[in-house]
Amino acid sequence: MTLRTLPPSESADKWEIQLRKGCLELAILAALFSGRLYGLEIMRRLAEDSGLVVPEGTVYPLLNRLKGEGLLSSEWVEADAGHPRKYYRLTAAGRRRVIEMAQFWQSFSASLDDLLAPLRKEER
Amino acid sequence: MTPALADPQTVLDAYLSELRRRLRSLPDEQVMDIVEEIRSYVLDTTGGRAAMTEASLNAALSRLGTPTALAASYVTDNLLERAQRNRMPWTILRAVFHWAMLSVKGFLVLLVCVPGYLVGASFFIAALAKPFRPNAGLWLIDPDTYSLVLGMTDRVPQGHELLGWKLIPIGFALGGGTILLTTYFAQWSIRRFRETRQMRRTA
Repeated sequence: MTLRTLPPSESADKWEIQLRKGCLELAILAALFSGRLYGLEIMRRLAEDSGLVVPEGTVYPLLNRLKGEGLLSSEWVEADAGHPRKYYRLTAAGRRRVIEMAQFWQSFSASLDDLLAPLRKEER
Repeated sequence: MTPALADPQTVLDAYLSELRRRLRSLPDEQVMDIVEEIRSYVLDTTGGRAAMTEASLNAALSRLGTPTALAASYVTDNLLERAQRNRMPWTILRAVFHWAMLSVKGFLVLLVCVPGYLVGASFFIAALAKPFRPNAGLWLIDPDTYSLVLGMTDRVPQGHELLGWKLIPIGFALGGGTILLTTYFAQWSIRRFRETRQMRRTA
């Protein structure tokens, strides 16, 4: 849990933070696509798989909102740890939503890639 | 023996009860769910009740933020959603007040709403008071200074009153109009804010 992204460099700064925030909802829904997870597991999954480190104070209220919107459901499960954990899973609506979001993301990033192609030649 | 004040369990309980208090505008069931989830998170990251130390607890709590800030993130969205559907100035003011604590945009909207509702309410009160309080009205003190007397006290300003009995229809119309305009503005801002946040979550 000590995994943290490096402080953003002066120039990458705000834009990068905004971009990460914008992807957070998609990332959370996508992390839950393969099965139920509890809050801490979701954060660890995001940090390990996508380098997306988000403060706990943002993730928990966001999970609560996604649940309020009917995209997630939750259940309490007793664990060996000695205290129960609150697991989230995608509802049918959440599953449809994340698939739509992923499709949009893919077509959007593909077209942006075309636009960025000349920049990559420049770099080399 | 550990001194009672530094006992991590006590510190955690105090944090959670403060969180519970700040969440009280949400339905009870949801409050319990949120508080227990935060407790579960803290127990997970500190190694559980037995292993928890003051340092590990402080680290966990600082990642969560203060109970006030954490509760505000939960409550604001709920309040704003309610304010979008409900036109009562009180509901709207409460939501905007919470929003103002979270973002500059919310603060700016609050800066418009508070004077808007105050001016609107003043016209209303003056119009309501007129039949009983003859001093209620719009007074011209000197060529540049007007004073709206609400009729709450017996104070009679130096100068003369401009509207007379017309204060009643004018006061209701202006008061109602100002309150409505303020409400429309607040709801429009809230709607825009929530729509953009569907895509781009600001924390």
